[in-house]
Amino acid sequence: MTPKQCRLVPGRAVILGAGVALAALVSGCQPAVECGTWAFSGSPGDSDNYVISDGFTFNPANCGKSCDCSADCIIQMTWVYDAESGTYILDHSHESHGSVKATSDNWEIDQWDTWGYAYYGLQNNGVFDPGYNNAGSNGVATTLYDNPGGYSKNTYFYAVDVAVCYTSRTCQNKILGSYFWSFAVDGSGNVSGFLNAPGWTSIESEFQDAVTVWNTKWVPFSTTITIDDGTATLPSAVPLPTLTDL
Amino acid sequence: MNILKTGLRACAVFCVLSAGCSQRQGKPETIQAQQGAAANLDAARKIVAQTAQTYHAMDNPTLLKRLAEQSAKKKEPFNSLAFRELQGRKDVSSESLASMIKEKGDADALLPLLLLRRLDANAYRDVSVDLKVAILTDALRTSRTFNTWGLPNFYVEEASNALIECGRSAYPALKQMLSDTRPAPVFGSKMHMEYLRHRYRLCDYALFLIERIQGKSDFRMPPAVAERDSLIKEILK
Repeated sequence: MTPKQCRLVPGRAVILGAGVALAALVSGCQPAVECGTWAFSGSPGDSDNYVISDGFTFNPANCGKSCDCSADCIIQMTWVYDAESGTYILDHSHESHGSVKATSDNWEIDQWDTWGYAYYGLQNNGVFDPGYNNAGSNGVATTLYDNPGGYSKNTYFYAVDVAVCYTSRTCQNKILGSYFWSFAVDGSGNVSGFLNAPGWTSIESEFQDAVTVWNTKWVPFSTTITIDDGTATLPSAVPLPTLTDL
Repeated sequence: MNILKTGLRACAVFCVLSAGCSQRQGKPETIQAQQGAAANLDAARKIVAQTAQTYHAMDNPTLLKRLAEQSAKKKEPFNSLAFRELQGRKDVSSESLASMIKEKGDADALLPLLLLRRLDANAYRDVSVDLKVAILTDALRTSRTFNTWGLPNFYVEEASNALIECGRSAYPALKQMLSDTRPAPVFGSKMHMEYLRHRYRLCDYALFLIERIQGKSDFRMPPAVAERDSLIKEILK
């Protein structure tokens, strides 16, 4: 029911009251499904950077489900905003294919061009690099590490971490939860945490757009470059499966 | 009675949704944080769109002026609003770009030079190698962040390719930089992480470019500083 539908019975006080409450609830009630808990930690580093760890511990009971996920991991997408110029910031150029991964809103899955998988810590040889992101499972955290920085003054860095089940007989390729985090570089160059929140539905839609761009633009394009991360060479980047809520 | 029934139905829906909300961690403070973040993103997205529109509406002379300003501010080509807009236009005057390049002749001419390289191969070829080297090496030497040049072992950007194309003419200036150990940071997410792992310096960029100019297209930058320093010593002998 939309807020507009709630207002279709304005003459009845009791219904109006319920309708207004319902409307407020529905309009505000946009959190994405969270089947576990997030433990985020972020603090300014020693070189204009922001040091974060973002752990997700899968507990399907949190969302009223049951599932054994033997390996879960995180996909991260990022967007950087330059408030001084009023534009987005790229850390590398079109020539090196950065924009091929970007949605129309310039969100992109955060991954090296030479790494074939979109999963943040999954190397080309199929092994997770725990320095970036280990594989978790039910009750065992999958933790993403990042160290973004070096940005000029008045920059805002936004990231969305999406935990997905990578290996399971029953809930493979399910989205288990998402988390939004950000930091800012102020006008004096000081780095500090900005807005953090569990994911919500429209930001997960943006994530689905980033997945679509990965599959439809980046994967075909990647056949023209060498996907070699030092552990193995792949013929192209690897498409993401359809990812849906648990 | 009817009112009561309808009210109860509404209440039932309300209660079901309430339960759904609590399952989805819809605590008021969470919802408030999400709404704040969503509103912040939305506001920024609107400004980005407005800025792009403003640049799209500019004529070429205005954009070239902005290009010169943004070049002097050491904006990367991919983050210069003027460069982004001009690179898609078909009617940019190569003469104007060539004259900006000649007039400046140093790092401030980097964006006009790279734009000319992208838009008009013939006019770019007409710019002397010495002038290209002067602009590119001055830009490298005075870079504050090095995203314009790429990240050794990961990305070789347009400016680095332009310098590599200049061949041995770039050696003297690059060799001078082999002794400069000042940090060469890059901004980014994983890119900055990689920089922090290897602590690249200006001399490392010079080393990387010299190796590439020498035709070693598969040259990999050693992760250890000591290894990089010994390669630098070899070149300086």
